[in-house]
Amino acid sequence: MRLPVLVALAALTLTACSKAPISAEPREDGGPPIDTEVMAYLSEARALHHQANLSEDARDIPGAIAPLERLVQAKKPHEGTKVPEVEEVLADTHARLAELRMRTSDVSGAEKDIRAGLVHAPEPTYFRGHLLEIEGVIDETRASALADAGKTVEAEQARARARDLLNQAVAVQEQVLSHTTGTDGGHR
Amino acid sequence: MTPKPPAPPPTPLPPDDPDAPPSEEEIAQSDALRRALEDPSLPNEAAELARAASLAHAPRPIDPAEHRRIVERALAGAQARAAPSRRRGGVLIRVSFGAGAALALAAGIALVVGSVGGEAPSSSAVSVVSPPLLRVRSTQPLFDQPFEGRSSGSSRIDRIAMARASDFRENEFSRWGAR
Repeated sequence: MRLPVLVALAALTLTACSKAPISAEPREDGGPPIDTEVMAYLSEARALHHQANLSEDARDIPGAIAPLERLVQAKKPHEGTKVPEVEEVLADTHARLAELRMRTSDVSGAEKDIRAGLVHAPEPTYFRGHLLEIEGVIDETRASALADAGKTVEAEQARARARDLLNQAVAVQEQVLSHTTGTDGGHR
Repeated sequence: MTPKPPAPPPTPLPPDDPDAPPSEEEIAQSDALRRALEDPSLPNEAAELARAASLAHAPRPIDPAEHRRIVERALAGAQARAAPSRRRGGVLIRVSFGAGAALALAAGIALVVGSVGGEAPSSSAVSVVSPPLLRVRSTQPLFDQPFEGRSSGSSRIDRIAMARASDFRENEFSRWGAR
């Protein structure tokens, strides 16, 4: 007789516990917790960027590009879920690739990287601003080359695009600054 | 007749002066302590305390015969105490097992009742017991501070990886219940 009463009481207690309020968790961006998968990717990204450093220091630009190309094609953690860290690493890696390609005069390759990078940075972040800045520099370089080749009209068009992109970069970075410093972005 | 003047307040006792010469009583006590330390058969509390402190620091070997007698006495006493409580111990064990089984049964009932209610256990239900974890988020705030020294092409990735490594460690400690 005593055992059934004990069982009933314990069951009631456990059922009540299952209805207890859920503990508050920092769920910024609503994404998954930082786990081994995310860390493995970040570690891989860091290693590949440092491999690129070594080649870059040795003035081996193709050697610096190779590990970064491997990174942008690497398997990503939490496939199907946008992990901000991964998106921003990819945006930054494409920006670095574009700059390296510019040093080998691969202008079209650099533009492709910028377009790919912008897909990973749709919001007004430093990373998006940096990509727009590099794209503006690419057009500025192209304008100089076209002017040297005597193609004045095309050179002027490239210059106009460069101005527009650099203005966009400035606008994005001012937004970033106003957000981080709580000011109007440095306008005086 | 003039009234009697009030008596002067009692003079406070002088505080103990450590440099004062020893009193007769102190001299007698120290003499008794010296004699008791020389001859253990003389009763003296201070000498017993000094001997106990000395033996605690550097115990002398015990006589084997005396050691055997102490062990036998202790074992005999333990058996005598255990005999009447044997039955009580058995009851305690049965009650413990009974309560454990009842709780296990109750947990099963609670799980069944919960699933019959139509609510499958969700990730939020699991989070009732899981500690708070740091989640993935934009790395933008990491770049509020400028880079120190020469920055390389990997500086930003370095900062991201190191910051999240710290978060990851925090999560591991939370999972292990070490926070």
